[in-house]
Formats: sequence, structure tokens, C-alpha cells
Amino acid sequence: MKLSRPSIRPSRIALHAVMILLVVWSVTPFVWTAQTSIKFTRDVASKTPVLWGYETTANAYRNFWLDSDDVNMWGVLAFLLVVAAVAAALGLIGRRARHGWPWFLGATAVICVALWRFPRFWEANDEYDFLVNSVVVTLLTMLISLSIGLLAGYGLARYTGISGAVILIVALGFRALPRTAFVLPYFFGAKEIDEWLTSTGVGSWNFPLIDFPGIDTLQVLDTRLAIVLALVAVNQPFTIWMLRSFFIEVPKEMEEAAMMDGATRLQAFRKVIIPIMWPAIIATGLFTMLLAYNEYLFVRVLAPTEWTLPVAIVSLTGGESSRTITEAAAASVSITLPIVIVIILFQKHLVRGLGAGAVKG
Amino acid sequence: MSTVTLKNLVKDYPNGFRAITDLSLHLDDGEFLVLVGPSGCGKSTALRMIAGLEDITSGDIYVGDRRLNDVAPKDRDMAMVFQNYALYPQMTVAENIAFPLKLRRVPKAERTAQVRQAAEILELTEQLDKKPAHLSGGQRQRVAMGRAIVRHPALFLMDEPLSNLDAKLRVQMRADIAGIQRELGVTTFYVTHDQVEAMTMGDRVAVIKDGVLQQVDTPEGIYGSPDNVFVAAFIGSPSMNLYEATLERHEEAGGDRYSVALGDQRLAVPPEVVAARPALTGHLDRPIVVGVRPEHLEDAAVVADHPDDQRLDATVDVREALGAETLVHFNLSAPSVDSGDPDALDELRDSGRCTARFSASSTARVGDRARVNVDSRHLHFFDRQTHLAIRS
Amino acid sequence: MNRRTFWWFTIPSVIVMLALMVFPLITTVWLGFQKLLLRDLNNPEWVGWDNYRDVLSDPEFWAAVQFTLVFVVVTVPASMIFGLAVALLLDRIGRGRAVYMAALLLPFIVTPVVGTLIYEDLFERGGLVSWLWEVFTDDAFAVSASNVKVLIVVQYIWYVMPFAMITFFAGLQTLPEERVEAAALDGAGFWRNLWHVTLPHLRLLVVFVGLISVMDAYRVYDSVFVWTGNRFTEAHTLAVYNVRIATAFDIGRLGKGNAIAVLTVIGIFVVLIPFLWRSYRDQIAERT
Ligand SMILES: Nc1ncnc2c1ncn2[C@@H]1O[C@H](COP(=O)(O)OP(=O)(O)O)[C@@H](O)[C@H]1O
Ligand SMILES: [Mg+2]
Repeated sequence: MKLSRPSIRPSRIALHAVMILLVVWSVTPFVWTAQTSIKFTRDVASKTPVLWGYETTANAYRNFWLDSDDVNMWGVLAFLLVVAAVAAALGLIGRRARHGWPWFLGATAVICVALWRFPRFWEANDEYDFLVNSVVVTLLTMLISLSIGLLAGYGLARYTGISGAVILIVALGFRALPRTAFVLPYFFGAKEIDEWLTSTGVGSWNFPLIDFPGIDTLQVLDTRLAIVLALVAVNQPFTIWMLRSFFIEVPKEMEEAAMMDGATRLQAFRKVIIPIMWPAIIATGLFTMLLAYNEYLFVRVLAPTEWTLPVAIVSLTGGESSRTITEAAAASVSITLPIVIVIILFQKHLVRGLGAGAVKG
Repeated sequence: MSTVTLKNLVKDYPNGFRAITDLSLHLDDGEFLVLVGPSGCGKSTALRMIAGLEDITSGDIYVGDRRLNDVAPKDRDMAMVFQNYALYPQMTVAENIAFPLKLRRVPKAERTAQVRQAAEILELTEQLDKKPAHLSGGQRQRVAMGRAIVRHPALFLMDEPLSNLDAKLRVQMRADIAGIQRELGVTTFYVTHDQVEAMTMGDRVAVIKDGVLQQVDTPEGIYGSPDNVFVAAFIGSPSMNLYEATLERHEEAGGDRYSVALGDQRLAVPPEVVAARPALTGHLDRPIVVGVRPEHLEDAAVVADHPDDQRLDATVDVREALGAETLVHFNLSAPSVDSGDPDALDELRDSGRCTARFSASSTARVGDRARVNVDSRHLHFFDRQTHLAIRS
Repeated sequence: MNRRTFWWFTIPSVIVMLALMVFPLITTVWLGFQKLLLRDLNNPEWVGWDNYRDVLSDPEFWAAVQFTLVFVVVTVPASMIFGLAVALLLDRIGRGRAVYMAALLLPFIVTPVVGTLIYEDLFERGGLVSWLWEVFTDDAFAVSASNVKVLIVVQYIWYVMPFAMITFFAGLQTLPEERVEAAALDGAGFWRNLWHVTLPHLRLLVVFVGLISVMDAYRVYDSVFVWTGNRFTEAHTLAVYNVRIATAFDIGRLGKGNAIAVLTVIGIFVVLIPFLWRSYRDQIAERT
């Protein structure tokens, strides 16, 4: 804002030149990988990199995601584009709307339905399950983490007793702890619970209501639930600190007015405070999404087979696997694209969230 | 019947601070009571206890015969106007006003009608579809009022609702709020630090200092016979001049004469003034506090017809011509008294400072040696130790 | 808000933190005193301080400690200074800022293991950097034990710089323009302005970013693991070393792994306790 006169001065050109250098530093690996993902293997293998003029192909994507060799990738692309466009449109409307949540819910629903129907149109590889796992884990983590985080963040912002301070400081301490301090006991604990479930026979009970396809025993280890619980836990300190710093900005007279108007504390929270908190919820939700979607260690240790995408990509593209370089690149692009789209849509919230959360934190 | 009774209310904050000490008050049905005091004296605390937003340490609150101590705010049937209005930013004006009705599940048609009616009373009809962010300060204030009146509650609670408005608007809203209250006849508990609001709006005024109630009376009663030095100084602007002085008796054949020694000057006190306050004779020749309001001082050059022994001499320090009258500040050599009003401290620390309200025709100039008529019939006397009025 | 309401609001979060953070932490300490192998989880055996003796006499542990410290000491200041510089540049950009910002944010939002993989690709045979290296030096470039530590550090700075950048940028947006203008009227140059106006304004943010960066760098796992795998174990940080010891195929020593975890936790708390204590005092002061 400060120097935004659109004049073309030497300093202006220099500034943009430096920025472009910085962008090159930032995005070169992405561009390189994106290129690799649409090349033929012969171009990739050439000793001198083929930087332009190469023939492009979607083979790598097809081989990584689909089970069949003769699929028209234009159809898949069109399907994905339509889904992305619809979801993005709903998201954009929601960002401007007074009550954002029905629109965001709608966008999420569109994506979920698309994910669910996709394998019926095209035969998907096993890798597809890891994508589904990633989405399920991310959404559940966001939902649970934000739900309990909003309640706690509000309580901590409004209560002035000492116990509030103690909880905040202990949480801040937990924020510093390495994953390694938790992952081994999680693993050990989950295993103990599973053994107990098996030994008592509870694990093989048939629960008609939770009888999802693919679940025939009740267990903790190697389930998406285990990953979600672990992520919710390690994410709580950050969530409550950030949301608390947003709640503090809302004058307490706001809910007091609602309570005088005839609302219970919970009604005041739901009908008056939460609608004001949307920017904060989105910002915190974005960070939670990044955390859950990107998690590697917990998934690797707690879910030996129920992988999410990061583990799948590291494992499938490592030395021993039969995947080619182009397929690895295609996988990397596929996992990165959704997050990039979401962040571009909500970039402002991310910046503001860090600003607000940080100043108080 | 919406009478309100507070019995021996006490509030201790969790950090141990006692914000309210033994507050007892009674409001009649339809009465407009103003609680006034310097900022930080516990006014909001008292109001919020009545509202149920603050726990009661001890004591009782009754509305009618119903004890409300443990009733949730939403069930107290009170409406509150906050200092910062606390409008809901995501709702339009209409939705803001309708919110209390919505929570009570009033049918939509009826809701709309009542919102319209409230908007008409408050002249907000044009603004109904706007968000609070797009309103002026005065309009926001009226929306907050609208949210309160639309419900027809048993009691209005208002916490300095005018303090965020500019001076002109405040004068107008003062009249508007008082008018609406009279029209609706709802019992009202109004909190302010502005004694002008207290005097102009209240049926009765309660003065509070450091969490302790000082005096409750009609505006005239509070002004005319303040119970103690604090009330005397706090109510009235410019505030009462208060000095340490000594009452002396001169025995004479025709009956005793009295005078107060103010520093090195003497001021005669009419015998009937002392006669009306027999207790004064117990303070003879001992220091007491004497007070006189600025309007009871007049330039001798303007009103020549005044007993000569009820006059003081002083050098004019500052002169403020206000048009209808002229404020003149001068120094008496007598020690002035700290009334305990934190907002006024600086002014009073300047020992001996005296303010007079002269007629506009006064020609006293800065540096002049002026003669000042003192209307001794309106002197106020207080005990020097207890600061209580000596009246009986 | 009274105490009862406070607990109603806070209890779900507190339960989660008690059950999934406090309790596991206690388990970690307990497991640290057990002899426990991954392939035989059912027979923990109390061995007292044996695991700790084992760890403290393990040269690999000290190598990991050393590299972790170097890693923190280099990446934190580097990414903060770099981030601040880019934030200052971004702040001067008028048109096109959103595009630059999105591009610069990319390394930070991408899945860390994937980001590392694609960064590494540049240095592998046939990669862009590897090729350029060959063009200019006529030598083949290969990731090796001698250069992997540098690569890890450089790639990590590439990854975290946007965090400092975006936070400082957000802070710069709240810098009152009058203060900058007043300084300019006083004839303050760029450096004086930075030192006397901008940095004091960002003081709290610098502490915040510094703290978060130290925490995150100290426990770095994902990127180091991808760079080194089991190839370059001498470039393992504490977290990677810890997981390797605990879960290595067939010989995973859970007891020893937990002992390492406890030592790691003690390490970060030595740094953190004074800060936590100050925050606690601030919190208490806020309440009275
Ligand atoms: N939550 C609290 N904890 C401790 N002291 C408080 C709290 N709220 C207010 N106080 C103190 O109580 C006194 C009265 O406050 P308040 O009722 O807001 O004053 P007023 O409305 O008259 O300006 C002040 O001295 C204030 O510092
Ligand atoms: Mg107040």
C-alpha cells in the first residue's frame, strides 16, 4: 500500500526483478516436478534435460491412479475440472456469504461425492484408497479439533481464574514436544487396547450400526481413527491458543447482550459469537488441514497399512518400488494440487490468522 | 409490579478486591433511578450483579417479591444497554432488534410488527436493513435502545449509554431516553459518571463512591442538602468550594453573632442559619468544613445591596466569560478540602482555589482585587473528621 | 465466566490433552526404564537406568545431538532474517503482491515429505541442479555423505522461510504509517528506520517466530528422513535417530527409543522453561 504508485521507476523494476528471483528459488522444484510428470520416460532419462519442446503425456497419472491402460485421460481431466470448479465456486460464494458454513459444507460434499463415485467410472488402483484415507483423516481431524478447540478457546478467553493460565502454559509446553515423545506410547497403547479387545472378544463383536464395509474387527491400531485421535491431540495446543487469541478480540459484552436478550450461554456462543468468528475458524481450519494432510510420522507408525498420501508417496517412490520417476512426479503433483487450490482461495485468511494469532501468542 | 430491591449487596472479585460494599437500594415501579459516581467506583459492577452477569458475593436482589440471586440472566426479564452498545455485527438493524423476540419464539409476523413499532419510536425506520458498521454513533445507540424496548421488560439497565456520543448528541439523547422511559413506564436503573445526566434524567439519584453508597435522594435534595463532603463536591458543576474553617461565636447584647474564619478573613453567618443546625454549636472554635456553591458568590460591584460582613476579598486569577454568566477563579488563603473524588483531585490540590459564578455584567479582570458577596444563608457545614453534613 | 461454565467449555479439550498427551508422556518415561523390543512387545522388563546408560554411551546419539544443534542454530536465524527481508520487499509491492505471495508460500504449504522429495530430485542424477553442476564443473554431482548435511539445511530453509515471511508480513500490515512517515521526516534512512521503527514494532512477533522455529527445527523429522533414509545415518537428527532406534525392522528397541525421547524432551525444556515461566507470569498479570 505504501508505495503503490504505478509508475515505472528503476527501483520498481529492480524490486520486481528481485521478487522474480525469489519466486524462482521457491517454485523451481515444483515446476521441475510438474514437467517430469507429463514427460515420456525417454525424455526424463536423457542426460541433458529436455526443458521444452517435449511431447506431453498423462501416462504417469494414469499408471499411478488407475488400474487400466486404455483410459481416455481427457475424460478424467474433465471430470476433475468440473468437480474442482463446482467446489471452488461454492467455496468462493461461501467466503463472501454472511453464513459461510452451508456453502463450505456444500463444497466439501461435492468433493466427497466425487471421490466416492470416481472408482465407479474408472477402475482405480490401490493408491486411490490412500487418497480417500487422506481426505477422511483431514476432514475428521478438522471437525473434531475445531469443535473442541472452539469451546476451549472460548472458555480460556473468558475465564479469569488461575486454572486457565495453567492450562494455557501446559499446552504451550506441549506445543514444543517432539512427535517422538508421543508416537511410541501411542503405538504401545493402541496395541494394548487391541489386545484387550481381542482377548475379551469385544473386538469381533458385530455392531450393526458401525458395520462399515471393510471393517470386520474393532481395533485401534492401523485405523484412520488412531491417526485422527493422534492428530487432534497434538494439534490442540496450537488450536486453543490461536482461537483464544481471536476470541479475546470479541468484546465480552457481545455474549452478555445476547444473554440479557434471553439466550443461554451456549446459545449466545452459537448464535452470536460463532458467526463473528468465521475468519478465525477458517484460518485455524487451514492450519489444521495442513497439519493433518501433511502428517507423515504418525501414519507410518500407527497405520502400517491404512496409509495416507504422504506415506504412500514416500513408500511407493522409494528405492525398492517399481514406480518410475514420472509416476513419482505425478503422485507428487496430485497430492500438492488440492492443497494449493485451497490455500490460494483462502490466502488472506492464512495471513490474517498468523498475524492475529501471533501477536497474542 | 416491577419494584426492585437490593439488600446488603456485596461483591468481592476473585482477586480479593471488594468492588461493592453493603449496597441497599429500592426502586419503585416505573421509577428512573440514576446511580452516579466517579469511574471505577463499582457502578458497572452493581448493574451487572442486578443483570446476573456477575456473581453475588452476599446480599439479595428482589424484583417484586421474587428473589433473583440464582436466576440466569435470560430469565430475569431485564433488558440492558451497554456502553459500547454490543450490537451484533453480522445482523442487520432489524435482526438486531428482533433477536430477543426470536429467542422467545415470537411468531415472525408479530416480530416484524414490533420491530417496526420500536423503529418508529426511535426513528430508525430508514436504517432497518443496514448493518451496525454502517451506522453513526447516535444511530447505533438507538439500535441498542431498540433491542431493549422491543421486549417490554420489567426493568431497563443502562450502563453509561451516552458516554460514547459527542456532546451535542448526548444532550438530545438524554431527553429522548428520559422521554421514552416516561412513555413506557418501565422501571429503569441507569448508571453514569456524568452528574449532569444524573441530575437531568433521574427521578432519584444515588451517589456511590468506592463501592459504598453515599446518598439517595431526588436531584433537588442531593443538590440542596448533600449528606457529606464527597456528594457536595461531586454533584454540581463547577463544584462546591470547600474549605477548612472555624466557626466562632461573638456574644453580644442583642443576641449572639456567629462568623466563620476562612484563613485570615471573617464571614458573618446569620443567626438563623446556626439556629437551624443546633449541632453546629458543638463545633465552636474547632475546625469544620464549610462549603459554598459558585452560584452563591456574586460580584459586589454588580450587587451592591449586601451586608458588608458577608463579603470576602480576593484577587482574580482566571476569568471565563460564558456569555450568560462569568466564571471567576480566585484564591482564598484558607486550606481547601479533598472531597475524595478522584476525577477532581488535581483541581483541588491547588489549595484555596475558589470558583464563583458572577453575572455576565461583572467587570472583574484578572489581577483585580474583587469584593465577593457570599450568600451566607446557603453555606454548607460538614464535620472535619467524618465529612458528614452538620444539619440537625 | 464462572468456574463451572469454564470447565464445561474446556473439559473436552482438557480430556483429550490429558488422555493423549499427559498420559502418553508418563508412559514414555515408564517405557524408558523397560527393556522392550519391537518384535516382542508383551514382555517389558524393568532395567532401571540401563537404557539411559546405553543411549549416553552411543556415539550415534551424540552425533545426532550435535547435528540437531547445528541444524537449529543455522536454520532458525537464517530463515528468520531471510523471511524478514522478503516480507519487507513484499510490503513494498503494490500490484501483483497476491501472486508473489502465493508462489512464495508454496514450499511451506506443500507436504514436507513431498517437498523434500521434489527438492531432492533436482540434485539427483538427471536433475536440474545436478546437470547445471556438470555443465559448469565437468564433475558429476551426487548426493553424498559429505554434502547431504548442507543440502538438508538449505532445503529446510527453503521450506520454513515462508512461515517467517508471512508472519512478519502480517505484522508489517499493522505498523502505523505515521510512525514510518515521522521517521522519514526525521531523515531516517532505510537501516535506521528498520532498527528504530520496524523491528521494535515486530518485537513480539520476532520472539514468537523464533520460538516456534526453534521448536520445529529441534524436532525436525520429515525432511531429514527423506534426505537420509538409511543411507546417511550420520546426518540424522535426534528425532530421526530416535525413530530409527525404536522401529528398525526386527531389532527395534522401544525401551531405548523412549529413553531418547525423554532426553529430547528434557533438551527442549531446558531452553523453554524460562520462556514458559515468563508467559505464565504474563498470564497471571493479565488476570489481576
Ligand atoms: N473482573 C474484575 N476483577 C477484579 N477487579 C475488577 C474486575 N472488574 C472490575 N474490577 C474493579 O472493580 C472496580 C469497579 O469497577 P466497575 O464496576 O467497572 O467501575 P465503574 O463502572 O464504576 O467505572 C474497579 O476498581 C475495577 O478495577
Ligand atoms: Mg463502568
